[in-house]
This record gives sequence, C-alpha cells and structure tokens, in this order.
Amino acid sequence: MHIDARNLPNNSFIEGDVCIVGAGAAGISIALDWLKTNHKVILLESGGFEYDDKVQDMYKGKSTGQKYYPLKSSRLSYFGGTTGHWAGMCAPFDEIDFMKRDWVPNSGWPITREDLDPFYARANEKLKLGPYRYDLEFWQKEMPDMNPFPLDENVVWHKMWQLSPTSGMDGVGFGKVYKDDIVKAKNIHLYTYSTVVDVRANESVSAIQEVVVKNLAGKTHTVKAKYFLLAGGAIQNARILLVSNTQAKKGLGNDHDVVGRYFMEHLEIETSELWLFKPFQSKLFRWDKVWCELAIKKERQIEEKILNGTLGPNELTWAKHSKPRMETWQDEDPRKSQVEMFKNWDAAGVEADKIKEGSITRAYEFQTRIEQAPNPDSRVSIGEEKDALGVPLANLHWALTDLDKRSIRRINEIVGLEMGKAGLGRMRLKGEFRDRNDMSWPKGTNGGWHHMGTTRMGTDVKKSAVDSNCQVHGVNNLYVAGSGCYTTSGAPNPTLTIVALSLRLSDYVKEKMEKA
Amino acid sequence: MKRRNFLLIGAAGVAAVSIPTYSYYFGDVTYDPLLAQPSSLSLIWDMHEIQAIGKKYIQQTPEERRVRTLVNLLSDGSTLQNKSIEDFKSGRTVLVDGWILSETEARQCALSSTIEPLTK
Repeated sequence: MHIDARNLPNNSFIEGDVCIVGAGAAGISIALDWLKTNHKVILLESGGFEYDDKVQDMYKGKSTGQKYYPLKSSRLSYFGGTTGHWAGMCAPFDEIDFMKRDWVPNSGWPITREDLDPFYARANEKLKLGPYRYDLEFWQKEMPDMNPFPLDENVVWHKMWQLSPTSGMDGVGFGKVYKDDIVKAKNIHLYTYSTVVDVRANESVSAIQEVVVKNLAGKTHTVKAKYFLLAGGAIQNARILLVSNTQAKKGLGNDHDVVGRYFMEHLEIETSELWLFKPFQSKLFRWDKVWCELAIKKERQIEEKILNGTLGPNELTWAKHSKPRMETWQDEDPRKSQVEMFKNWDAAGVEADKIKEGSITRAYEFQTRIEQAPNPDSRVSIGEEKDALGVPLANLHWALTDLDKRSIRRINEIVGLEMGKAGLGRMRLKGEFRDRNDMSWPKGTNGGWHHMGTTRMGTDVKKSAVDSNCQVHGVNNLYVAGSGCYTTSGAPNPTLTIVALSLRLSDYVKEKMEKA
Repeated sequence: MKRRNFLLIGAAGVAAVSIPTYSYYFGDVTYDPLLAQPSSLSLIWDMHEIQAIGKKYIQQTPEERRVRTLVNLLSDGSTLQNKSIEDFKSGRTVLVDGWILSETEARQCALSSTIEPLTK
C-alpha cells in the first residue's frame, strides 16, 4: 500500500507494529521480509518514486579533512535509495574482516562471518544474484576461460564478486525492482514524502514512543510503533540520532559521544601499473556476470600487519586517459556528477581505441580497493545550518590514517613481487606510493560512495552505538539497519552485507515480537 | 661502442641468453653484451627506457656505478633469467622510478646505461 504523505491531513496519526525509516537497500529488504505476515509495517521514505532535487537538498552538508564528494550527491533520497546509482558489486566480507586484529585499532566485530553466512545466502536472493558461491572454482565451471594468474596461492588469491541485476547503473535499482511488491502488499504501508525529523523516547530514554515526520508540503505527522528501525544510510541514521535530543541532550544512543564517529569509506585509488611480458588470455577480469580482483591471503595480512584490500585491473590505454572520480564527481546534483563521470570514461575509451599496438596493450592499471581503518576522528556531526524542514544538516570530517596508506603500498608491493616471481610482468607503483615515509594522499583518493561505521556495532558502550543485534545501546525498541553498524568496513563493497545484516535484524525483531 | 653493434647483439641474443657470441670492451673490462640486455624488460620497454632506468638505478645506488662492479655482480654463472626470478623469490628487489625490479635486471639496465646512448 502506498500513501503520499503530502496528501494526508496535517497532523495525521499513523500506527503500526514496525516502523522502518528509509526505503533503500536495508529498508526495502526488511520490508520484503515482512510481506504476508500478520504485522503492519510502516515504511517511511523521505522522497517519492523519482528523484526530487528539493528533497535531495536535505542531504547537503559540509566536508572537511580528506577531500570528499559533495554530501548531497554521494547518496540518493528517493524510493530505492542509493541503489539508484549503485554499480551492483556484491561479495561477502572475509573471515578476517570480522576478527579482532591487534594492529587495527578498534577492530573486531561481536559477530563472525559464520554468523552472517545464512543471511548472506538470503541476501543473494534479494539482490537477484546467482548461487551463494564466491569461490573461483565454482565460477570456472560456470563460465569459460576464467583463467587465474598463476601466482603463489599462499600469498595471493582471486576474490570473486557477483554483479547484481538490481543495480542502479542501468536505471534500475531496488526502487524499480521492488516497487510493485511493496506497493501491492496489504501489510506494508509505504509513506513517501515522509522525512523523520525527530525520534521521541520515553522519559527514561529506554524506549521510543513515536517519530515525527514532515514534508515540504508543510505537513507534520506522527508515527507510533512497537519497534523502530533506522534504515536511512550511515550518515542519515547518525544525523537522526544526533538531532533527536529532546530527552537525551547529546542525542539518542550518544551518551558516550560515539554516534557519528568511526565514519569509514572504501578507498578506491589507482595505485600501480602491471605490464605483462606476454598477452594473458582470461575472461576473469572482465565486467560480466562476475568480477575478480587479486586479494592477499589472511595469513599474509596477519604477518604484514596490513588492512584487507584487493587490486582490480583496468586497461592502461583507457586508465591513462581517465580522471579520478573524486575530480569528476563534484557537482552537488548527483545526476550531473554521474553524467560528468561517464562522459570522462567515454572520452577515455575513444582515446584508448586509438592505441592498437605496443607493450602498453598488455598493460593494466590497478585500482586498490581497501577497507579504511576505524578512526574515531573520522566523523559525521551536525552543524548550525538547517534544511528546509528545520533539521540541522550533517557535516563530515573524513580522516584517514597512516595504516591505510601503508597497507595500500604494501599490498601493491606484495602483488608486484608475486608477479615477478611468476615471471608474468612487472609492476610500477604510482608516485605517492613509492616512499614508505610518504603519508600524503594523491588527488585521486576516491571513496566508493560507501558510508559506513557511524553507528558501529560492539559490546563496549563507550566505543559503539549498537549491540550485536543492531539495537541502540540502552533503547529497547530502537535499531539501526545497514552499513552504519559495521565495526570495520571490510574489503569488498557493502551492499550484500547491508542486506544480510538487515535480514538478520529482521529475524531478530520478529523473534522478539513473537516472544512479546 | 657503436649503436650498430648493440642492435646486432640485440637481434641475435634473445635465443641464446647464456651463449655469448660477442664481447664488449669497456676500458679494461670485457664482458658478454647480453649482461647489458634484460631480456624480460625488453618485452615491455625499448632501449631508451632501459637505459633511463639504469641511470636512475645508478643514481640511487652509486656504489654500483662502475662497469667492473656491475659486471662482477652479474657474472656468477647462473642464467640471468633464473637469477632474476630467484631475486624476486628471495626479496632481492629494488624500487626504481616506481618499478619493482629484481636486483639483477636493475643492474643489467645500469650496465646498459653505460653504453653510448641511443638517439631517437
């Protein structure tokens, strides 16, 4: 069922069993999980079914520290959320991503990869992927000519991604794929143009009583539910908690000044070149149903005390003409930024096509894709400036660490040594990655538009915002869904884990509701 | 040393890495010209690039600037191709202008750079 909240009488009262705030990958996945149950689910979405620049404007904010994309254009505020410009890359986090690593401060999830495995399998279905198989051997049987580089398997492995047909790059996204399922469902009440501006707790701040929603049509409504699940993305969830300070002066769940801290991105930086001595025939590194990158074995990461990351190749003839995304994606309007990025990629393709011979036709540029070490100084906070609904805007201070830099350099060095050992070719590190003492960052320090860690999961209330069930510490019926809960950001793209973690949360709330 | 000689060696040398048919004379040092030709790197670079890398290697490793030193370091009996791979296995690598190279091939580049530069 769909209701446009702009058309409701002002001060309407809405009530359900579960209230999900945000209809992106997390919120829609949870809502789908409650289809055909006896429970009434209220799904609140700030925007409508299409992009609306006035709604998107409420995602504006200032950035300091490491250069970042405009906050307004780094996520999307309409039904389907940021999947509307998502490339579709899916892979589960590795076992080591969940581990406490003594060289990575603040690492260690309270859950393991094994805990998430059954939910990853279910997430695969929601994302309309193939079987829950991410091993090279499986895909070699499925698709021809998937030849791996003959590298030492004790050092380097081939990590696989599946590419989701629910991605937004072809104008699809979760919004288009799941609109009918949600709108036709009798027990799911989708309210568009419903921006949460306040979450109100009881006097002791042990439970949430209601949320207040507003829209640009000047309407204000109140939503009551037994359980409230924030699924608005890592920046927006933190913002909602921080501005909801009627009963809790520092914001909900923020007694220890943790909410908004530990903001993480995936660093995606062009770091090296690989020049092969001979052509290497393989379809493994083509953007097809699956994608592959070179990863470092867990044991070697432990030995080297580095973060988890992978190297993905692009043809150098193309890469040398393409600009960093941090440069092309700088328009506040996400549609214009996307056009600029693709325009540059197309122009690079035209230049690349002119190069038909020479050793450069066997050369590749490696992009390092790597987790960012959790850093309390990297944070989302609320500023003085307010949006059109009177809610303080979120600001970002993105701060990287020496461990991030050292890990990138070392991963590239390790792969370079392995390429040499195998006699395949030679690698060349790019300028800022040559000197071990150089802790500066290149202009092309891209993020993946992946916002993570602002409401991190943990057992220590002084260092985390939610517990292992994604419940905000101390607030019985308030939960956070999505990548804000990540304790560490893992090497691969976040969407599969967002959906898996959301389904796990969904199960937990169902169980709790049954017991109640 | 004349460019013509070097090119002749270059054309014939790939198939006979360990069987020198020529010798270079450099001051009082005589050596197999193949020592100055990193065969793998020649698959991705031309001679100008090889010599440029060699010069950079000498700049960062001045103790190996003499031809005699380089020839001695490169002439220990094993084939240069194997020696290069062994370097990678043993961690005997150097970073020259960002390139991760085996010590052997970096020295070959350095030796090459002592030969009269080619003109473009």
